Amino acid sequence: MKHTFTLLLLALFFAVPAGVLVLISLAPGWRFPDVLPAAFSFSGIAFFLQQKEQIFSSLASSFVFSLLTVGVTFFMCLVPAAVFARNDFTGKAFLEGLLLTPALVPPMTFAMGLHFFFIKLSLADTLPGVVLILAIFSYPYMFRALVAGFQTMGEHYRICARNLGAGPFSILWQVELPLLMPAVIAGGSVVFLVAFSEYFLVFLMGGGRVASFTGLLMPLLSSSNRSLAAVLTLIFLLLPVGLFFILDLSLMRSFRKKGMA
Amino acid sequence: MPRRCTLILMLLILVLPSLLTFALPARAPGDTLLKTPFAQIQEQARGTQVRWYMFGGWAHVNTWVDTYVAKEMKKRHDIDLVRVPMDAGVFINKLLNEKAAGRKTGSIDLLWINGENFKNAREADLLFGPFAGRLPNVQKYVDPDSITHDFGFPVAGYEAPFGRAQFVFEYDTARVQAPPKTIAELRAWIMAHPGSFTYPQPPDFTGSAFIRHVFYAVTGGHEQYMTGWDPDLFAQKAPLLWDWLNDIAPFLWQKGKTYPKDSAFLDTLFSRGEAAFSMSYHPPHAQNLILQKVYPETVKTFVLDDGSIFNTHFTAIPFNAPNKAGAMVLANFLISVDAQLSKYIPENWGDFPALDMDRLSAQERNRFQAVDLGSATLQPGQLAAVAVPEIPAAYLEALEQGWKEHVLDK
Repeated sequence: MKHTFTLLLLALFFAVPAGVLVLISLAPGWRFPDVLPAAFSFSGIAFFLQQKEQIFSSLASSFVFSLLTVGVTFFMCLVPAAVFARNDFTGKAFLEGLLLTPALVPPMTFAMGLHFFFIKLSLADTLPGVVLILAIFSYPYMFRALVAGFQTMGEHYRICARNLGAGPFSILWQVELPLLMPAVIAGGSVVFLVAFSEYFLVFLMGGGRVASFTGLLMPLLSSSNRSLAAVLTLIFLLLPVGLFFILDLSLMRSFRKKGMA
Repeated sequence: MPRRCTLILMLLILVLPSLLTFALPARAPGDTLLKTPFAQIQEQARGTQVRWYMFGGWAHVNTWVDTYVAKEMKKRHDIDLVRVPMDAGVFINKLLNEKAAGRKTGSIDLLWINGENFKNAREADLLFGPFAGRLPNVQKYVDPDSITHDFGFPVAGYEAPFGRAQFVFEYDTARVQAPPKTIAELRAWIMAHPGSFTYPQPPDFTGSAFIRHVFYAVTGGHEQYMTGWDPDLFAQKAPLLWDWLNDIAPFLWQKGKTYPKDSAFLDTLFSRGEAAFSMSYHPPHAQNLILQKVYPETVKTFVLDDGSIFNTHFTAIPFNAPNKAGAMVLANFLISVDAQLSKYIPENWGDFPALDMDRLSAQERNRFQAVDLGSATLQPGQLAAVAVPEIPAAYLEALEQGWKEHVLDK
């Protein structure tokens, strides 16, 4: 009973809008008071077929810089997160709050200044520039997840491993990282989604040289043909959903193999 | 362990930028280009890439650029065209930052631009030129008097004409039999049909143009504003416009409490049947949407006898364009007879030519006359009969700001 209610709610909030999107993508002229579209058109699909190279290349580019952002934020946050999870020091709460500000402050406030700085560093209009700005903006999500991960893990595994003679590197690689995996995945998922759906920062820092799917989607969202926007939005949904599905599946399998689930 | 990690990251951050400098293209030749014969420029541009930054919200325009223009540029000039979708406001910001940071070689070769964006770009000295007069097709086919000003701001050769647009209203003959013919009739129509008219909220391009039409009509015509910004005149005339707009507000869609945020939203309201009229700064817009099956085939366009504002849109080259020669070749091709004709066909785009028809040969003129504009588009003659010029950009900005203060927040 509890499950049916949850499922109904999920369907109402996710499946129904997706279904409406599918209908709109096939019927740009769908109008009130028709409950179902009166006429269908394949102009949206035709547009997709015609532009498929650009769509796929920008999708691939978005995918690559989002994954790289996940990687960079992971390296950025690993050490600070361990320090924050394990130590108490004066000003910790203040510093933690400070570290979370990039996620709370609108990116516009610092983007223009950083753009100037990145041009000076020859980072503007490059993939590393895009990845770095996205990392600066989205690392708090990774940081929070890793701090929580380190706290759940506790100190005992590390102490135990050290007593058994493991060096710092093998402790990290063989003991801590596998145990941190769920936290990394959780934080990484959020970072991936934030990076993947960011429009303005990628556009400003990538300068049109680094293609992005949002860059392709945004202008069409404000065009008069809702079909095109619907088709692209469906594609936009598909990639992260597919990625998480695969991730979830492979993660479950690997945990099961290790007897952890 | 922690130290090693930070060290690697630091190294990465330090090394990456220095590697990237190798990938930057060589510096483009600057002012000498403006003295080079065009044939030599064409030769210089052969085998290069041109990056054209333009508004990307019109799928059919994107398709036209990606297919026709790209193919012809490759065939005729061996130039690879890359279209980058970017709003004019964004690329102006980008160029402003690049200028401030002293970046000599940018990433944009050609811009699609006009109006206040051109004015802002010129005032910040972001454009290369004057180059338009160097283009053979501009010399041959364009009436110099038609491109002296862009929204009242002197063009001075810093942008090359690309197309012409004029404001039209759109209505569905299945729902409205006799559309209004003047601003006064429009007002009467709105009062008689509460809830079925609205206009996009300025500073949306189209909504802003709509209030300028009313401004011209209720203050005695456009001529008085053509000499440039006059604050006293504006202070004296603007209240007439605010009164007109506030009078109709209670009879608008949503009782005028809110307005569509852009013209695409109004198009959606219109195509869903919630609004009786839509409007566009693009005469073939309705025909395009009929072809895309967004609008029913019964949609037609009309203009008001009080006047319909037209403007020319342009292409321009940024000060730090890496391939200025290629950009000039592209700008020249875009204003060629072939490209303007292809652009004029509604299946491709339907944008009106910026050429002077009197300068074409009879044969070329016939090719334009043979184009079927579709049932929804008005004929060039009907549009030309009511055409009035754009207002200087300073009035435009004052009207947009004033609208928020005197109409929206009232």
